[in-house]
Amino acid sequence: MRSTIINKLLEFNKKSNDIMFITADLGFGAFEPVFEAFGNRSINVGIAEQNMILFASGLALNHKKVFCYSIATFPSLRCLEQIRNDTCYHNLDVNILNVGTGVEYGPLGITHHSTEDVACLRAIPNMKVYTPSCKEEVALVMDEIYSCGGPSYMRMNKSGATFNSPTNTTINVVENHKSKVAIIASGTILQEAIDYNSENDNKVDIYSLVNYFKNSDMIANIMKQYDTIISLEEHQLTGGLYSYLCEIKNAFGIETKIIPLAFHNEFTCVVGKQKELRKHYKIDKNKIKKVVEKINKG
Amino acid sequence: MSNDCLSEDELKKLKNFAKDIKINAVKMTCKSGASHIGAILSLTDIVATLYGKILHYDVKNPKDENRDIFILSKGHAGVAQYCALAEIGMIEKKDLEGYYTYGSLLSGHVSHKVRGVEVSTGSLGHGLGLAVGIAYSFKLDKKSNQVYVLMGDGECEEGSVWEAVMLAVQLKLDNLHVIVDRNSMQALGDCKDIIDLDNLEERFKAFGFNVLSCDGHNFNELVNSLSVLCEHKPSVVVAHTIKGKGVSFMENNILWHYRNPNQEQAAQAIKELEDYYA
Ligand SMILES: Cc1ncc(C[n+]2csc(CCOP(=O)(O)OP(=O)(O)O)c2C)c(N)n1
Repeated sequence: MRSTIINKLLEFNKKSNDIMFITADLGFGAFEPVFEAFGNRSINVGIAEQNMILFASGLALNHKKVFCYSIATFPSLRCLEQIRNDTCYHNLDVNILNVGTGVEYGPLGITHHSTEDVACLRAIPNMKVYTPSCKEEVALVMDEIYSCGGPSYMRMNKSGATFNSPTNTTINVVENHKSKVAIIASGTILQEAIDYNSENDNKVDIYSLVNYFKNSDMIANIMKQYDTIISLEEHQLTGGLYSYLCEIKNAFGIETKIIPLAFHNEFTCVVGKQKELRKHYKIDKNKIKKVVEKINKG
Repeated sequence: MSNDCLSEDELKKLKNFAKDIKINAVKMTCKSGASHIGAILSLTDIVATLYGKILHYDVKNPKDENRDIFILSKGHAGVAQYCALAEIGMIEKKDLEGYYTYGSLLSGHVSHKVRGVEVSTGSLGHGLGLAVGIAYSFKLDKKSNQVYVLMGDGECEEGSVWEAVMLAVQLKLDNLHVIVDRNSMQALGDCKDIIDLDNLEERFKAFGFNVLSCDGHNFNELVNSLSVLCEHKPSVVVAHTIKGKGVSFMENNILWHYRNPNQEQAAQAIKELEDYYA
């Protein structure tokens, strides 16, 4: 996913002289081509995320299209007030690219787990939150950001799920088995659902949800088709995908039951890799198997 | 910095400008019950100097491409900016009457919904970082617009201020002008008893700023300091001020950070301000 954003940035750079790339001292060994191509339109502001957002907002106030890069909670929670007051209230074209979310940095510990970002950011008016699951969705989102502008926040991991035929930036069908149960996943954790299906006979339909701010009717129409939806996210229960689907269920008067697979509002302090933590905190393919079995037993 | 650069006439104009802002501010805080009159009286002479003598703007077109940018980072003193905008004709004087009341655009902390205000502030420590971004964008576009940002001294306790200071120096933003309203007080008392900002000038100098110091109630000194351009360096003017300036019972009295004047106090304040600027 990271290489996709780099390629897209290089592509946009050829089309516009007003594109800026800002990092808060992250991206070593990856963004060098961007620095080279952007020249004085790329700035490392230093380890200063509040200032990254302020600086970016100032640039955007004067018609620049700004992409900000960092990881974990640094470009979200560390500078939440700057995102709210400066970027979002002034409705500026500042676009935050966060590669390194959920528990991707597992063994680094809790300071590097981004597990509340969707909840915090989607609560801010004007903010467009995107959670692509694969590099193809990242490319679609980047194009949308380029043409429609920010403020936006894109939540990613270094590498994405293996799903290569998305069509839109709202919700994509990943697998269709005409099941009564479906999984709606947000982000790269989609891979757990894909892996579940490939290892089990009791296959379920799978969707990838990409944004949290528009076309909720599209999502509602999909939810309506199922008895049960399993929401799958690498995020705390409160305020993320499960909450979003419940809001849609309520707004559209949908009967479908929703079962959440998310962190249960606890700090993910167990040490382990992303895959291990997904397993430990029961948001992985094994847990999906148990939940589907239980649903099928009635 | 004591060379008189202003003619008698210009000086008189600036004094009247500041006086009108202050008198309106007293009336507005009295009527609305809003706080921060001390902070407003502290920076009004600076605001009047900026709008009266320094900033380039077009009253007919607030978004004029060639305008200078002014950011009031200590947004709690927004009344001073609103009144200045009314004085220059950017907004209507009658708009001031709605200040702080239902349906008005004029919120207590300064709002960009008001014609001529560039950005909304109110959470301290944001304005400078924004100004650095704007100043850099002018550099990229090879434009000569200047960017002015007015902060409180207590505000300098926010870490984000120094993040922005470091970047401004790194980017050699000589189109950036910071003004610190150095009244040596903050919300709960004197800075020296809270976070001692002694030698603020030295601190900015150590970070690489071009540093000027002046009496923030002396128009000649303000104009002189604010006119300085230092190639490849951002500038800061530490403007030494008195919180509540011009009203004897408000001067250096922390009560007037939050308190608003009643009718009687307002009448007294207006009388004193008339005398002060006479
Ligand atoms: C981030 C933030 N914290 C606290 C406040 C509340 N507050 C408003 S004014 C003020 C004191 C400001 O002191 P200073 O910057 O010195 O300005 P002065 O009013 O003394 O001119 C405080 C703490 C705020 N507006 N923003």
